[in-house]
Amino acid sequence: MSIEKTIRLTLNGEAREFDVTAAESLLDLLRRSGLTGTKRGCEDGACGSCTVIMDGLAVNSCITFAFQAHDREVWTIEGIGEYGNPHPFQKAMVERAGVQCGFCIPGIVLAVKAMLDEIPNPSGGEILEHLDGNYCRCTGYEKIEDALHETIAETVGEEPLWTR
Amino acid sequence: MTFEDFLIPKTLDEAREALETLGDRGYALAGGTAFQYVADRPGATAVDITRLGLRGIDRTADGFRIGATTTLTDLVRYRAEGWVLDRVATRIPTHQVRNISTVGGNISRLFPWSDLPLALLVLEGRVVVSSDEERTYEALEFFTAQPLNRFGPGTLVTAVIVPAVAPPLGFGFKKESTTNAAFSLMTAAAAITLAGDRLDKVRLAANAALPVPMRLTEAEAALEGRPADPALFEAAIERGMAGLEWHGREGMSDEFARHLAAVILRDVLEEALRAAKGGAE
Repeated sequence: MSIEKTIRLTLNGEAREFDVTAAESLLDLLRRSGLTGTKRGCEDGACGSCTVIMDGLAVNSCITFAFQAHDREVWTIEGIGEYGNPHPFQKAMVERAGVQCGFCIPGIVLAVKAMLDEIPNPSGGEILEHLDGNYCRCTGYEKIEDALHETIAETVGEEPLWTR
Repeated sequence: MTFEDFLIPKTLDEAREALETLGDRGYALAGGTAFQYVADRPGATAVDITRLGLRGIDRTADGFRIGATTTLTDLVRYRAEGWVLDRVATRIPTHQVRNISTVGGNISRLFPWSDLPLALLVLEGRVVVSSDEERTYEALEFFTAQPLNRFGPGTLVTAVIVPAVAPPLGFGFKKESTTNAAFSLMTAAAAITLAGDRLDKVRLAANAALPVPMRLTEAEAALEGRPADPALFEAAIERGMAGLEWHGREGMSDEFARHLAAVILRDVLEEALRAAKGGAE
């Protein structure tokens, strides 16, 4: 019998309280709260579809227990950009046709946002390091790379360090 | 693993007291990523130890003291003369996992594919364990058995200590996996200390195709005191591998696992020797 306890966190910029059990994953908590943009993929921390940002770092919500988010700041895809004002990477993904089936895209957007918040003009090695946990089975990554390159160029206002 | 309750202590004493009270129902949880591989146990209670002030890397007189809840990403980002654990941590997949997995968690529950213990074994790192008193274990002693099974309730790893690596000490590390995000098929690490043109101390370890990370002491003994000549490595490795059972993973035959081990062990010894000489060929 799992005991329910209350946790507090800042979710997409808003202070929230949730009753959670010890068994509940952060992914389950988010999805039952209506934040279904966070996708359930492999459920063992390999594919990155469930990526959220916790205290500034990309993490797999499927293998993070909900209680681990207590007193932390969590961002999901619902908190990134708006329809009329998307994040630069979201905009570039649309313009560069980086989205096919779309299932992996929320996780990729979150992983890219966490990286660019920390390193606005990452090197090729830093990009590989930050995105090695996100699978895309449709695009072959090329269009996503196009979008990332364009985003870096536009947001830093100079040529990306990373050359394709 | 499915937990039935959780606690979020604020101090090391609170955490230790909770774990002591819970007995074998209590599980210290840092990143928590390994619990997906642990069987359920009735009444299991997670004790979150990530808020106890155990995160961070301090430069000491001869090396580095790493807090137990320092993340693998922290290891990747840290930069200092003689720091080599970034090379190991960056090969532990994936970025999202490195962001939450901790040093303490990575070494407290050994899996065949555990990479960080290999580095600690060859660098002769030490592990600081806190119970009623603080005790420091040599890595070789700490990893002789599954660490989680040998310490009583209320005992926690609080820090790891590694030396700074600079000539005449050299470090080598290599990992093979089917994809960057996959578990290791074979990882090996070596550390060589030179005394002039001789191999003064050799440490060599492997994992993945072995049940747990372990040192190849026969190979080490075959090389120590001998000339610093890579031509001696093959015979020494063969001697060190004899008597150990090598098991293939992910479709790899046992025979190929053994072959791969011999190749990678030689690679890391050669790398460690080059580094011990200051990078000279």
